[in-house]
Amino acid sequence: MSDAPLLAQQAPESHNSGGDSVPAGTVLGEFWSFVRARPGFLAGYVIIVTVVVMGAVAPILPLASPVDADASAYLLPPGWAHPMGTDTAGLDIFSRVLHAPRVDLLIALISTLAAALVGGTLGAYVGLWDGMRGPKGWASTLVMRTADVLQAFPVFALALVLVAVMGQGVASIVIALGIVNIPVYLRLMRGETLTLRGQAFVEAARIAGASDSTLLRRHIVPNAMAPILAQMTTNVGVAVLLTAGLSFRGAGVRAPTPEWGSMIAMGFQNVVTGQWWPSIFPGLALALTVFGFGRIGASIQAWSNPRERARPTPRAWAAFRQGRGAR
Amino acid sequence: MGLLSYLGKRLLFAIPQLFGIALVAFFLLKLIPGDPAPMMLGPLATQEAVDKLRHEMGLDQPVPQQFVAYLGQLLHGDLGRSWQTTNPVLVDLAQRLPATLELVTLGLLVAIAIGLPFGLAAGRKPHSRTARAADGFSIGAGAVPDFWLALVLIFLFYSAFHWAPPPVGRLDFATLAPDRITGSYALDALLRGDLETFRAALSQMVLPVLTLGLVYSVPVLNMTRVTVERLNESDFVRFADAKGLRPARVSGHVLRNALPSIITIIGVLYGTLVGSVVLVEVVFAWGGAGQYAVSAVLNADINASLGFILMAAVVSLLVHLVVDFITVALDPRTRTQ
Repeated sequence: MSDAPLLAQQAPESHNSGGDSVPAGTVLGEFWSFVRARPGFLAGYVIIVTVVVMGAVAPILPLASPVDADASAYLLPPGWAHPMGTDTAGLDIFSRVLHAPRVDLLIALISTLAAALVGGTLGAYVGLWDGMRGPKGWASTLVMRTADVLQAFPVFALALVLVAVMGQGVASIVIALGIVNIPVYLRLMRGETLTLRGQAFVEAARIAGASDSTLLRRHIVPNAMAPILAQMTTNVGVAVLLTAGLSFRGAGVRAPTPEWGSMIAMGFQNVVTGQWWPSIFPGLALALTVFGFGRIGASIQAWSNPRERARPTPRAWAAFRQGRGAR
Repeated sequence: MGLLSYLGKRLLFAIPQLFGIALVAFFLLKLIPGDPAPMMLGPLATQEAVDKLRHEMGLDQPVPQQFVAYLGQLLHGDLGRSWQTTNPVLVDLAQRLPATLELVTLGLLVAIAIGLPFGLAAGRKPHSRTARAADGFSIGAGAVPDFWLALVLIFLFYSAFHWAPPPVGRLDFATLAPDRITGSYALDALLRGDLETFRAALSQMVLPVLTLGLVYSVPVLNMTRVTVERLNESDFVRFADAKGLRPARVSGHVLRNALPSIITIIGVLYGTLVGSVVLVEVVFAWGGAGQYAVSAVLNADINASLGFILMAAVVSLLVHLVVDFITVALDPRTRTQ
């Protein structure tokens, strides 16, 4: 019981913990050794740290400019001067692929955080107030019905409409993706709260006179954090995909700004005629990033499930079968 | 009788939801900057002409009144006109929806063909090589954007090896569309006995269908696998295994019991996909409903956008209804509820 809230408070920091060693004995340390022993999860952390670092240092690396075109370098195949080739405008693909996380990850992270914050808070209250009489119960029903309507919209069309309403730009995309994802967290948190509010320790706190907000802050939200965190990491991947999709259709990030989706869109006609590099490389970077976030999410999910957490790693299992005994 | 009253109740509940969708969508779309009247008339139109058109279209009225007027039209089955195509929206959608539906239907069939057996095999033997391959496939294919996979397939199968036709839409330029029966070119050609056109339409479908099949087999696979793994621990499977039934027969029993959840996820996917195959449609110049909607939103074509959103909602409601009926038919336990 005691380690679930601890995990909730500490797990977010583990996202950036990268390769440095964390003192064993703490929950974070245990989590880290859990991840380290499982290459399938570790890969996700390595990829995301690499992508983040690349995006951070790209401007100081000796790269071609990601936005100033060199008209003489029209659609060059990958080679020494341009490791990933150039596009029809003469832009260096490699430099642009490395600069893109600055926009893509920014949009994905902020919109996911905002959606989780708003959706999670609403979901917690809706779950707590579900079925109550009076205004609290009505408010909870109203919020759920609104979420129903919002989720009945085709996701991409809704995001597109929201961007169209607010005008093209990074801020609009962040807000649009945030709104589109709110119902996901709303439902998740509501479900968790509904389960938790019936448990003895929550009822005890309620009888002791805890207010709604204390109940949520101290007892419910900390215990519901693991699934929310797992959902958030997967959602960052989805947000990157949606951003790319919006840009692909010309409703996202404007053209010269390096962004994976718009790069794929710009090279789309070239693929048909056989010049694959302007589209394929940014797509690979995009897929790798989504993959990385997916693995991080899976690792949090596995960690929060006691049966998964206790499952021996393939190496430990092999060692055990060879008669040397598990670690 | 119980079935009919259930159906009635479901349809009754659908009405407020559709109303909510129409309400939210209408006011949201009205917020999009850009006035359709000058766009329809072109840059040379006089102010009087623009004002006259705005009056004819009811655009000079307050938005709530416009919404009431729209609802009135809607009750008569009139979705208004699209100013981009100048056709009634209903006609536009009726033309394009079959294209989207044939893509989604075939794509999901491929997804089932990949995901179901793979998920079943992986779920029955959780530590086998098949299970690990399924892991790898679902993690990998789950991370790939569908519109990018479409480009990869175009490059491999068209640009590099010329095995597939170019991505120019539902038919190549040399073939005429068959006379309309259902609106699906392949189906219509087959019904009219025109095998040449049937083959042409089918070959255009290979790459987009493969794209959707590969990407959306992942949720089917995962759902099958999770359900089957849970069933592995139930008494009837243990008993069947223990008495030495052939694995294939046990798998058959497991599959039969896993079907309701698998069909549910397929229904959910179908509903979402009809509204969101947009990008794959764009890559293959498919001319489907999604592509129509996106250009409508980008050009402030409100009637067309609204029509698409409502249509997607209706399709997804119908699919959910069908799924519920299949589930009830498959699982007697749900009948008493």
